[in-house]
Amino acid sequence: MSLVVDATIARGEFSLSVNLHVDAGETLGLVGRNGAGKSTLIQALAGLIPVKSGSISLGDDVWDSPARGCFVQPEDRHCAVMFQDIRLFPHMTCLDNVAFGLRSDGVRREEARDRAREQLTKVGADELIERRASGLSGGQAQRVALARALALEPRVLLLDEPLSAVDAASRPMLRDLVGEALESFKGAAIVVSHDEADIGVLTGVIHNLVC
Amino acid sequence: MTDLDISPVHREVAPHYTLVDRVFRRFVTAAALFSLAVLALIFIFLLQRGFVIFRDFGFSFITTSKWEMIDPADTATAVFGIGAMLVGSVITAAIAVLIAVPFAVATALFIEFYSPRLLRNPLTALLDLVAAIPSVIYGIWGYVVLLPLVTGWSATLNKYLDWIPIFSVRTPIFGRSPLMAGMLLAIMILPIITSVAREVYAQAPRDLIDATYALGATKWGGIKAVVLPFGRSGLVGGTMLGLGRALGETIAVYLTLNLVYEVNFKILASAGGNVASMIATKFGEASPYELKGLMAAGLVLFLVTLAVNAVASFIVNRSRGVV
Repeated sequence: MSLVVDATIARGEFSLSVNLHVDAGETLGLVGRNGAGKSTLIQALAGLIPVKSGSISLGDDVWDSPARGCFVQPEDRHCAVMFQDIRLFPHMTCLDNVAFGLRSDGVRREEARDRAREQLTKVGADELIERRASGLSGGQAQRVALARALALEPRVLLLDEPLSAVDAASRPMLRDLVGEALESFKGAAIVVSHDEADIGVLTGVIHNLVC
Repeated sequence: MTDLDISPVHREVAPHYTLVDRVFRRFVTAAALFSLAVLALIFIFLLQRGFVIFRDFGFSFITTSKWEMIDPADTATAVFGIGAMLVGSVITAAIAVLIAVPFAVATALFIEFYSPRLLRNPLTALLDLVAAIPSVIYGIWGYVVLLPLVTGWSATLNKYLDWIPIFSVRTPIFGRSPLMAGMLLAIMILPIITSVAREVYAQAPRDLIDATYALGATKWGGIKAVVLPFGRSGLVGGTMLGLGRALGETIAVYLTLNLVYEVNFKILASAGGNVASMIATKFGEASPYELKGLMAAGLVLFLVTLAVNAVASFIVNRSRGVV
């Protein structure tokens, strides 16, 4: 199942034309300067904003196509986003943050918690399980956010600047972690970064976003 | 090599206030103190007028439920106690809050998240307009329109649920009951609670709501996970505002609740009252000594309302730090 994007996305004055193709099991790296529209594209893919024209589709499912009058709601796209500004739910524990997507998907509480615990252990954040998400350091929060996206076992994984909140010293470790996660991920993945070096390590295919 | 002296030097930061600053500061301070002074003066007035009653009756003034003065000229024949009225105030206000809060939350969520964008501003304006309707209008409407309806509902409730103590009655006379007054109060406090709830829900962090959608949550999932937890303290504050209004409501309760000096927990029975409506009822023909009793009753109500508001701001302040 491959993710195909051929669309124009507009947001106020800003407009962006994108033509992408990502196969399942493949990771596409997106680089672009600040303001190139990286995060806007992520939002359109996740279904948070509609495209202006063209279409987004995954395999045979058309997600968004104004011409054909279809728009699949975010919750039905089975795609998971790791946001640039992380956006953990500050009033929940890390465990509940990670279990959130599964609970939304209708998984029973106990099972969702078990799977969340497993996922947090995988990203090396098992000591954070009972912690509230509001008091985490940048690197810790990023691990939890990664676990939260992966726990959903989404069809499409969107990572927006997954290494943005860590200092230089812990960057290689987190980069390895994201790399491993992407390697074992079976769906289509897109990683966005302003840093070409990071992208080069994480993905094989790089698309330069210019607006 | 020159010797560099880099030891820190303490520097005075002396703010320089201009004349305008000083005048404005005095003005706002005076305004703030003025409202406190009014509050204090009301308290002193009520205390001074009602003091004799507290001296004569002590605690029994708020625990007993009898209000009579056989000979208006002889203070020895007077027995004053507002126990039943206090209980009535609490019961009717509690019924009002229990009914109003779920509706207020639902209305606020509808306006903020489900209503068409075009309707949002008109609905918000309408809400504030409804909040400004005088309580006597509510009272008359309640008496004419709501009372017959509630009488019917009460009979039905009593028929099927009279095994629950609060729904049983001694004599099947429904109508001007605590339930009736409570429901009317619920309608009266609904706008203010809704208005506050809508305002805090509108401030729930948009990016976190988007995050819930991006993780597969439905609109309701996002509301449950982000909007409701973030709005909780605001909702408590709004509810307390409503509770304060319900506790002190006079005319609407006067019109829809039978004044009976007897502690009544049976909310369908046609007996009860609250402190404010009792004061209104008795005020016109009260003898000087009885008037003192009413002042004392007013003081108790004043303190209860003050306590409710204090608890409210405590809860709001405490939960503000949590999220």
